[in-house]
Amino acid sequence: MNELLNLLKENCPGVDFENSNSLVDDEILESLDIVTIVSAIMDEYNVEISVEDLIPENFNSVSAMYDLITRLKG
Amino acid sequence: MLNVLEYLEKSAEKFPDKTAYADKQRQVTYKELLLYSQTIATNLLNKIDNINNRPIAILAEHNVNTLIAFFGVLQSGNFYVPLDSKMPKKRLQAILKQLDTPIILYSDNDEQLANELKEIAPIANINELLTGQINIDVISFSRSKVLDIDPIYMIFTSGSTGTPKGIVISHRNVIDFIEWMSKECEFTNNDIMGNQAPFYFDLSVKDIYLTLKCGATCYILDKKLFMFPALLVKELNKLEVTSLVWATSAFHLVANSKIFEKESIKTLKKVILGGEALRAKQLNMWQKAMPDVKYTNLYGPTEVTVDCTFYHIDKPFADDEIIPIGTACKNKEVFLLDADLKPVEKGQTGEICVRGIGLAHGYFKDSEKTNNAFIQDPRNPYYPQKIYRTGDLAYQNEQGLFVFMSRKDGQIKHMGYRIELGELEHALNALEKIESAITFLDEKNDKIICYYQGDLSPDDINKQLKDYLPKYMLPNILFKLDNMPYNANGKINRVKLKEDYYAK
Repeated sequence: MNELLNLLKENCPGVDFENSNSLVDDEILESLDIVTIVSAIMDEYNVEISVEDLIPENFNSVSAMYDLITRLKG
Repeated sequence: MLNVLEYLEKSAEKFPDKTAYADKQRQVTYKELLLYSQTIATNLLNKIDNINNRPIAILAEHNVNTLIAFFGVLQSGNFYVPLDSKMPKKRLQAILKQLDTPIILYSDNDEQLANELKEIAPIANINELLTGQINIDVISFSRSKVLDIDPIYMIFTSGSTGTPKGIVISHRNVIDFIEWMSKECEFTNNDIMGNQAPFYFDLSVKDIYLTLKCGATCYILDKKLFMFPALLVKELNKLEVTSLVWATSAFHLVANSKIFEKESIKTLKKVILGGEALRAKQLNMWQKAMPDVKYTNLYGPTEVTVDCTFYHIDKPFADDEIIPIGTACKNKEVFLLDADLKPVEKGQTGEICVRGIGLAHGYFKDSEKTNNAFIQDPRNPYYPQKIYRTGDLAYQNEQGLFVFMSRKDGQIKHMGYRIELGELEHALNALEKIESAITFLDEKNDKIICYYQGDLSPDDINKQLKDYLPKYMLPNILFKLDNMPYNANGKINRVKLKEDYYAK
């Protein structure tokens, strides 16, 4: 999880990932952030995030993104 | 026709009970819109002592109330200044002080922010202005003082010296543009629009006034949908949207999600793009899924009132081909001048210059910048006639279509936003621990790159910059250097840094 957090911080500098469980709903993340995060995760974890996985619930927190990756790897 | 409110009055007469605008919470019919705007105007004039032709600041949210407030301000004989409530407070305060607004209007969700702005100007919740008696006499008297050359809105954009500049647009400017566009792009009362552009961005002027003029219906789409294309396409199908007038960046983003490999928007008839260079690769993805839709590429800076050229896509383009910005809109002349302000030879690159009634008055409280950009037509030594120098470089191809090349200066388009890198660098260099910093745009990946020297991490830099700049202006990738490279005349060697970056 820490590894993922570092990856996120590196790709979206300045975004406060740690203190919110509603990154999407509180408009902390914007569309470019999502695009950046999706391509960073796909490169780093070697998973395929399809358009069906692109829903708010999968990106509202670091742990939700972690769960998504775990699911896709499994 | 002298005032855009005539569009509202005509549509309220023809389609009183039809939905004009709707967001996910509420909708408003044409008749209601007319009555609400008159109620707001009555209340507003009461609060501001019946003054006219003054800027009224509005914290613009992506909702119906914001539009009702726009028309309320116009009914009162004043003009609206839509401001992004998400911009940093320091920037917002600087704009409001420069504006000298008699009142700030806001939506419920900006209550807290509005309270913090109270010391600059009185505030009023739009909802609270929606009730009470309408005083038609007071409104008519106020409106009778508004000429068609008086302002309808003012939009702030990034300024290279660190202060945003306000562009003043008149009723005549907007009428001239909307009359042309509604005919050229064949808008009717049967159109259903899906609005993407925020209301503090002049791209939205097309959605707002095409809807109003034609008696169409415009759905204000939730911003979040643009992060999740599958949900967006589902929503557009549910709403049976026929027309999308979007920022090109949103169009690209949706295509890149590959949603169109599986889905399409079944009721869609036309897509009209503007804001930055349209890419053929993404256009092809849309066209493959929706071949019968008519696609149009528009170009123009806010200073010429939304757009000044158009191109209906009328042939296939290879993925790597450049899509032209086309030819001049009706009643606008678009031409190219060289550095000495002489017309260029056919096929040569020059600065895009524009002439016509659609030109803005200029910049608010900044005659120096106004005089630099709005100049006497150098081809006409006989009588006063202004042209606007866009700072954009283009050439005309063999078919006579304009093809956009690049900017003359440090202005960029990033995620659909117009940004002066000078303003970003100004803010970067003002941070305490930064010794020096430069920025540039990686166009291919649409990312702002920053090289800096100083004792701060990239994360810290962006967290501090957020106090001064909107999020879309922050660098996306930052590189820390121990020593900045300098060239022979003591300037930071930008060319070398760019080469280093692209070599990575």
